[in-house]
Amino acid sequence: MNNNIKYRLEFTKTDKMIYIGHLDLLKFFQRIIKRAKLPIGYSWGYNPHQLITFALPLPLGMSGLGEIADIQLTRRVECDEIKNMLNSVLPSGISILKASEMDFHDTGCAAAVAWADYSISLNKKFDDIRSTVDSIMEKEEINIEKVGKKKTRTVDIRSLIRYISVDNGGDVTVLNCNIAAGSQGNLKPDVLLKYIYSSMDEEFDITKTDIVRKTLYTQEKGVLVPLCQEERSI
Amino acid sequence: MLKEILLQVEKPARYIGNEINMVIKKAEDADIRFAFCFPDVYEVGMSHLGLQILYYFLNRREDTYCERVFAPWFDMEEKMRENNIPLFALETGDAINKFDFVGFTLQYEMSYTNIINMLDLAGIPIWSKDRGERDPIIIAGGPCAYNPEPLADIIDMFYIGEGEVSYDELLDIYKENKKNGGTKEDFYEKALAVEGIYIPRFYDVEYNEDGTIRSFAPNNKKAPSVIKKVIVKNMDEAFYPDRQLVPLIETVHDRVTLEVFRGCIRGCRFCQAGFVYRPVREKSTDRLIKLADSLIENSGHEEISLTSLSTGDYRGFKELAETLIEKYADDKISISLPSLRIDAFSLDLMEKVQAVRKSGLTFAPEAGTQRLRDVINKGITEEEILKGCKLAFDGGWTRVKLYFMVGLPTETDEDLMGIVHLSNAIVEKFFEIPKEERKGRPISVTVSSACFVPKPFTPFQWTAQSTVEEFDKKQKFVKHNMTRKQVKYNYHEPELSSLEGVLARGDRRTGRIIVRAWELGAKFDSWNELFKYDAWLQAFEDTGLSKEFYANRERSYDEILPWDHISIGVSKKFFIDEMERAKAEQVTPNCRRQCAHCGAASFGGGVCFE
Repeated sequence: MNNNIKYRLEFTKTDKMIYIGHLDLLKFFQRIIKRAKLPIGYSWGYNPHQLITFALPLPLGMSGLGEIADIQLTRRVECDEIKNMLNSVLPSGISILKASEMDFHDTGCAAAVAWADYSISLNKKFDDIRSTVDSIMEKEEINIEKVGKKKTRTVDIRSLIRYISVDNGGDVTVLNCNIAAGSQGNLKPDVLLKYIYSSMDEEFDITKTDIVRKTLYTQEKGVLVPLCQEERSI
Repeated sequence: MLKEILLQVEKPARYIGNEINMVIKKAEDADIRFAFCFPDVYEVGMSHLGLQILYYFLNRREDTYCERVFAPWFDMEEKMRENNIPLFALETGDAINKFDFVGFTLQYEMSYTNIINMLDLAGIPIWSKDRGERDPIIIAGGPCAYNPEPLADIIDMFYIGEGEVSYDELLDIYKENKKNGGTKEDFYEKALAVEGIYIPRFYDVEYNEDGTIRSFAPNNKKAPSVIKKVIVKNMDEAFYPDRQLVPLIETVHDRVTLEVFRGCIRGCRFCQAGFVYRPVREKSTDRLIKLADSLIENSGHEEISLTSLSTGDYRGFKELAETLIEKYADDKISISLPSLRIDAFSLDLMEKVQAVRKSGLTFAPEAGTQRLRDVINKGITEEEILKGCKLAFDGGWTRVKLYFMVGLPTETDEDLMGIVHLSNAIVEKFFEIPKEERKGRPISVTVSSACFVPKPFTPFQWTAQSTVEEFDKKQKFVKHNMTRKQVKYNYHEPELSSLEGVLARGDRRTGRIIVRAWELGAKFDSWNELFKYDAWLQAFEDTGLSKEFYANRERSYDEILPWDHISIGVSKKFFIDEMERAKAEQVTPNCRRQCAHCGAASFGGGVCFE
């Protein structure tokens, strides 16, 4: 048991910063936290590391507007001060939107995350994509083959989709969706897109697609609650 | 478009900049735009100290915006060529062919084809004579610039020496000339007055029938006949950045680099760095501790490296190391100490700085016998090495790395066998420890041999390099005799070293080989998997130049060497004396024990006046 205080950070990862992967992001945060001189807690053991956990890796190439990380500090710091200290040393593309103090016994973000909102701009406008999406939503079960390192297994991705909506108001089709994210069940947006494209007999190319992860949620008694809420009572 | 490409290449963060401490300026407000080019991949270039220093040095000028450019990896190059994207600078993403200066740092000869490739990718003509008023001025510096001749028809001007000294003057002249509507030719003429600047177009070379140089002379009255390197006299007063660019992706060295001193007192006869950076000039311990603080604070790095050619020779080493260890113990900042001589003190220190990781210990005896070590003036004895190993084994280290060279002047089979004997003696040393104290830990000795490359401005600058076949034979001989199972022997492929031997001592004509090899597909030559030896052999054939003439020929003392118009402050007479002492197997004491009157005292500072 330690006396650390846990904080939850909500941050963006956009623009040039989408080109760094998760491990580099972790290293980046460790340096930024040192530069900001936050009283970060360290793990025990031979190779002590900073106590920082990310809710869910964001794949290289995707933007995040509401990414989540939990950190432990060795003493209490005002939430706004944490936010300002970090933002003052961050290069463009990553900024802290919010820091909030957690109860020590709150579930960590990595264990809590269950669903995510994505906004996906496709490479062009697909006029009849709505029917494809409708047919997906009408199905009870969609089994796809998932090729793993050792074996291929069948996964039902339908249960991992809460909704998909189509916005054809602009130059290209935008899909907004809420899909499973986290250790309990995870649907990568590119897996979903590949399925949608193949249903339309179209070629999917992730490099021509803009994927934005907007919000991460946990599920409490069947209800989705954002991991970083507007107000928290401690 | 760029996003689509970046998502198709390996490590796209190589091409985006945006690192912590990147300098952001308004490009349109800068009078001088300078592209600092490192002719290798991002992760290598970003670990280079010279880049970090010059980047902030040039950017401290309000009128100058210095941006970085690295060699795009081949996957990116392919995409750039496919989509007609010219080589761009990381800070602004602007194409560099509209910059005022494009500067290359010459760290190793085998990066030269990358320079050609980068010029081509930038849309800049490769040969200096083909460039016009609208093309940037191509400038180059760094250790390989001490023999500028292989690139003399490609680079417009060379900077000989340390960047902190003359760049301000040079840029002021450039700005003034540009403001007054002067041409590039006007600028070059004015730049002749700047110390340390060598502009090849103002010099003509003539050759003898046997291919050696008959004459080398200025063709302009203002051009100095000898260009002397410029160096910082007082390291405490010299500019040093208080911050460092912190990459977003893992690079070769992710750490704060604190330069402790320049130069080296040792005078190993094969080592170019040991001579071209003379005399040794130290920073004071106070200054270093202050710099360490700000560098760590501004970077967030968890490791600081005390860098120099031989950090253990720093006079305040003990105080500095102990102060830093104590200071940073609570901040989880580790200290790395490269190039240490192994003795009781340094082992004790290493124990403190790497409390957990007992990584390998490294020795560089360079040669297998005492005789040959005397020839090369490597002042380390077998007894010292074995004593160091004993101390290390007692302290719990069990991995030893040994570095040697093959093909050194006067080398015989006996010297090669010496490599085997010394490696075996180290293993024996380990088995002297009583079995119960070894606790079942295995010993491993890794022996690596490199192929000796004679370099300009060393006593060995006149010697013939071994041929590829000779290198092969020598290394196989060592391999054949290295039979103990505790010893692992690694050796280098000699082809690369052989080409390095050509370029290191090349003359003005060798530039044609470089360009031809590049045309035939050579680039990233120092990357094993991309090295195309056949392209180089073809290039020799196509240009009619001889590889043996440059690499495997012994020169006489009175031959005009291609780099004779450059002065590093160390006299040719000294090098001749040293070569003769080498032949006589005589060692020369280090600078602190006894001055050898090499000539470096002419700079009026450093170890010569301690």
